[in-house]
Amino acid sequence: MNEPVHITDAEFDEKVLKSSLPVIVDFWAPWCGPCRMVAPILDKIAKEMGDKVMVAKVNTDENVEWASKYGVRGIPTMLFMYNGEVVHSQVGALPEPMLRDVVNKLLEAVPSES
Amino acid sequence: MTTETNDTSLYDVVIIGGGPAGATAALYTARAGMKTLVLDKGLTAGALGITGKIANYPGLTEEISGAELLERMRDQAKSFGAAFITDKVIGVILNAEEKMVFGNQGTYNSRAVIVATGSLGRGTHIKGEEELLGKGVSYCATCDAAFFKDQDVMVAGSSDEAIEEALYLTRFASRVLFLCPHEDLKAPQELIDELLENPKVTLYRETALHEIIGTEQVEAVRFQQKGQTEETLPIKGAFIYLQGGRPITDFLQDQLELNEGGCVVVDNEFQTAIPGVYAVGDVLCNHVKQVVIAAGEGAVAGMALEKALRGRRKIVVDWAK
Ligand SMILES: Cc1cc2nc3c(=O)[nH]c(=O)nc-3n(C[C@H](O)[C@H](O)[C@H](O)COP(=O)(O)OP(=O)(O)OC[C@H]3O[C@@H](n4cnc5c(N)ncnc54)[C@H](O)[C@@H]3O)c2cc1C
Repeated sequence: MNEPVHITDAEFDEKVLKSSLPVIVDFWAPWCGPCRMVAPILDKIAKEMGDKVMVAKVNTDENVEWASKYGVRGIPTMLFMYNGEVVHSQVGALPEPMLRDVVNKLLEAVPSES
Repeated sequence: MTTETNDTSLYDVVIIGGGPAGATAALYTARAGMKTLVLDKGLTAGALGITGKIANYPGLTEEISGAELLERMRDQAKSFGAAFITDKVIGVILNAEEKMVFGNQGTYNSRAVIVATGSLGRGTHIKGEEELLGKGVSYCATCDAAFFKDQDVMVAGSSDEAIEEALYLTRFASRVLFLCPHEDLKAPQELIDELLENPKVTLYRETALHEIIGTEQVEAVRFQQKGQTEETLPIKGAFIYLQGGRPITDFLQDQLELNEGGCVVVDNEFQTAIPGVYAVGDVLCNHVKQVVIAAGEGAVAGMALEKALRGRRKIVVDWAK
């Protein structure tokens, strides 16, 4: 997967919680400026690291169920998930180097695919 | 405030902050024929905009408010072709030939950037603010208002920016508590009237915000109105637009060198370490905080930038030959 996957509430369980790869879930909405700032960075991460991590985008304008389950009250919120568990959450946009750091730490923390 | 700006044009210069420093820079760059855009979050969100009376701006002998002087400066820049968009800048990419400026409403591209955001930034946070960011604490109503449908929220501030955000929130929230630190709101009268007339809004004047309370999510706000006992009221959202006395540089996200005072570092033509990126006005240290100085610095940077960009244009032409 070399690009972010758009996920609806109905698909969340199957595609995110049961994913074999670690997942970055990006809760976003079209009207949100800071979301537009992280989007291209997440695109790059998906392209470069698609074999190690999945980037899942949830549009909170249309999908409220999981956002509200995770208590999301501000966007962008990025949840770093592995095996259906939230390992780390990041609220608000981050500059590219910092976001990459977080992703790398997440990947170090999970056992590599074998 | 709610429409997304889909601005795909490439500006010669985007100026962040339209106070006296930014508006004057715009006047010079626009007059020199450069495609100029000024982004500002409000008229009364900066130091000049909130100043009651200006008596020491040379040549202006009549009584004039800061906001009125600022409007004149902006109108003058517009008359030479500068565009103004109301938007709050939240991020930038400066280290590229084509620079990008991210606002809450849109993304803007330019060859050069002037930072002129002033020094009304906050140095300290209120208790609970950092911990509850994204869990009810927010700085962007347009981003997050929809999460507070039929719930009670609080807005803290006094500028037109704070009022616009509060009015936007009334479309979703059931009640908006507006905590104003001063006796008066600092904004155009029509906007104040609109706020006061809105049945969803309760205004608390001269009120100090003490704490945002909550464990997983925002649950309440603790505040005190002058002459009253401290109160705690249940809320779900806390939108904060308070002002302080620190240079506003958060949106730079460490891309420019700052000194110990938190100010942007520049050379004698107000250029930063990144070519094509300038900073002027109160966002600098070693700077006398006066309108005439801020305007003067804007003029120097505007002219320096024009020279630099024109020079680069020549080189491009030479290559093309
Ligand atoms: C109460 C008070 C009284 C004063 N009285 C006088 C006086 O009598 N005479 C005098 O000469 N000087 C006076 N000063 C000082 C003078 O107002 C300042 O030195 C001057 O306004 C600085 O200009 P500036 O353009 O650098 O900053 P500002 O005037 O603060 O303008 C900065 C602009 O940037 C905008 N901005 C900030 N952050 C963002 C962002 N993220 N996105 C978009 N826009 C943003 C703000 O909305 C604002 O419009 C006074 C200052 C104060 C606070």
